Amino acid sequence: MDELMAQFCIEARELVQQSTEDLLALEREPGDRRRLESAFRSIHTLKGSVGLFDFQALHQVLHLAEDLLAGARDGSIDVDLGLIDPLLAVIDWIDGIIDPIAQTGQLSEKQVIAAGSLLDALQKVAAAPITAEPLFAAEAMPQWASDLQARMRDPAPCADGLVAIAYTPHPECFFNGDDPFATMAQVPGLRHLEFALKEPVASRADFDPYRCNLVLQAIAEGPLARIQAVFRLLPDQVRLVELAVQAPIAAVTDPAEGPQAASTDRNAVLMRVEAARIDSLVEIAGELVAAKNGLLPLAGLARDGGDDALARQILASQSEIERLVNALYGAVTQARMVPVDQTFRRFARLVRETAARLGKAIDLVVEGEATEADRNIVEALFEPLLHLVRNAMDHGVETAAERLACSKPPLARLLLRARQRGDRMEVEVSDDGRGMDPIRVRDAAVAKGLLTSDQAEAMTDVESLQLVFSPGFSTAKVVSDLSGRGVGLDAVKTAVQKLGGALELTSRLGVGTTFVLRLPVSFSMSQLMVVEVGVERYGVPLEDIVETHRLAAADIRPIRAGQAFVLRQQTVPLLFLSDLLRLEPPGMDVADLKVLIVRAGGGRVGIAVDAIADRAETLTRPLGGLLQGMHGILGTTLLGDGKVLLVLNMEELVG
Amino acid sequence: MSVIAETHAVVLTGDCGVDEAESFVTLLESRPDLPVDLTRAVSLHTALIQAIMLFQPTIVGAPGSDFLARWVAPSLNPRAS
Repeated sequence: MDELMAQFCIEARELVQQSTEDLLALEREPGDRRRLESAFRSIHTLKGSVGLFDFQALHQVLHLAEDLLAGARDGSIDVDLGLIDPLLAVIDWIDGIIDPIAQTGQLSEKQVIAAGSLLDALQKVAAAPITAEPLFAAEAMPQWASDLQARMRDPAPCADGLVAIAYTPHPECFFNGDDPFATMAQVPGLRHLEFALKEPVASRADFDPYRCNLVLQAIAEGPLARIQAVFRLLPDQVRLVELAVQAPIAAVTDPAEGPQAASTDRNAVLMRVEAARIDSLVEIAGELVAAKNGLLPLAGLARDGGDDALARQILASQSEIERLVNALYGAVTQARMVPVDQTFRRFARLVRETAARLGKAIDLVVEGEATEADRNIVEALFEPLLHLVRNAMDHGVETAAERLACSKPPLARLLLRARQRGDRMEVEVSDDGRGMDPIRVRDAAVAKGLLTSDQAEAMTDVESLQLVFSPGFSTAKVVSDLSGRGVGLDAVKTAVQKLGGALELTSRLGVGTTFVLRLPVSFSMSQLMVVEVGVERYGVPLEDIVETHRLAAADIRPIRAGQAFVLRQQTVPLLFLSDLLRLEPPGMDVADLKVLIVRAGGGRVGIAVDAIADRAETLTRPLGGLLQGMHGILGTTLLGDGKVLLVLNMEELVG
Repeated sequence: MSVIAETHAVVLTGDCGVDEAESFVTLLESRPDLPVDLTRAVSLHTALIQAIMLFQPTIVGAPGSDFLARWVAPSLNPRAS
């Protein structure tokens, strides 16, 4: 493939992504000028680059799409679903042809035929009559809104802002099937509601019960788009105003404004670097960290030789090199950091499509997308998140009718949120759906033979929920094509653990379910404890070790075939690292044992070693080549003296 | 039928739709002495709420829907404590 084409494909993918985001944002907020401009620019740029090649069908489609967006910009075409749906179809089509183009360099016949129907759809939009102004015009903060805010009893601010609603139902609205109070009941996060007769009724005899003579005013929690969705069909009867928190000025804010703007700025100075080059930098830096440790023994040698001045000099440069190497290591690790947005943004379209297919109304809320983590982690995050998101949409979220029946807003909320917590990252997938029933989970687990009913009886509700992570567990009665692909939550948990993370679940029946993934931000330096067995040395990740313990040989108690000891009134099984690694058994004549207490298999296990040498900060590299997949070994690392240390995977060794 | 005049009150039961509005208003006009009992009502159509606002009968109980009970019912019965 020639370079021009390769460049085109990279660029096209980005433009497709950008325009998808813009169009989805416009769908939520048709008045968003910035998004409209951005969508227009993307399509325009794409059309420009397509012009370099001989893709006539593609060019025609883009040309028409650009015309429509230009029309939307100058107000001659309405920004509504009639416009956005065909445009999204175009983008979808382009998304599907980039890969084939990259491979074959041309469009297939089938794709050209598909272009025909897209052109028809676009032409239909172009021919549609022009109607009104944008659905919801932005307003400056009017008097009624500030008065309403002043009367609100609970003026606590909300992270997503507060929205004032003035709803004057049409007098004949009952005949259209409208029920204004029922509509109001659908507003999520309602904080304040007032209602009154619009006009005084002169005499009760004149009262017509079928004419609506009301004004409803309310304040609800933002974002604005969420409220707009409720009143989507009544734009002429409703005024929405975002309440300013401090100054009484209307602020029509865009939640994406901040991080989005920042990333555009950064794009200007971005440089594309092959990931492999950065990886090799990380590797070299990691080795430097280990190599600099070699200077310490040199200083010792010099001192032993009686040259104290030389020893001091070596030590001085050692600490200087250490500082620089650490800075270098930090910088190259930083180069691998990308925002989780790269993974999160793939969900917008997915949720929209899946929700439509399931016939459910789901609002995807994304927060903290600017949180950064190692590229590998952000990429590997997609699979588990995909499964959790599908799971939530499929099993968690009810249909609009079911939701209404239990007085929930019909629009379900699916939250995808990332947060940095120290050196770890928390990614949360939560829905406000039906939640999980611990009793049903327990019963299903018993029915599947995962545990006995006696065991189940003894479980708390919180423990019961954790059963969903057991292999072979699935509460779904029907295996759907969505999440029932034989991949259970246990697979998600394993995937997260492989990344060095943990998966947690909380759920309340009728309220919703939350999954929290706690992940490392980067595969950076890890702390190892170096232990000795006979003449061999091994590394054990410090995070696996709860504590170290000195155990008198007399305190070892035989239990069946094994051995155990009592630690703070708890019996802890005792294993010998030499047995686990099938090495020569240690001499049993020692008076006391050195024991590492490690977390494994959900409990604590004591691992006896001959000696605990020291700690090391190193970069553990996974095993490669022939050694790959060796049981119980996490990887290797270089020590300061140039020796290779095997790092043990305690969980695997013990289990 | 979910709007019935019993001896002690006009009782609304279940989901009360817009089609009940006329008979409800007739009852409110003819029996202004009777309170309106919402204890067994689940949801109320806006037309019925509007009628209550205009005729201001004494209200007994609160409807089953959380939304109505929290946001609407308290304002319908200013005389009750």
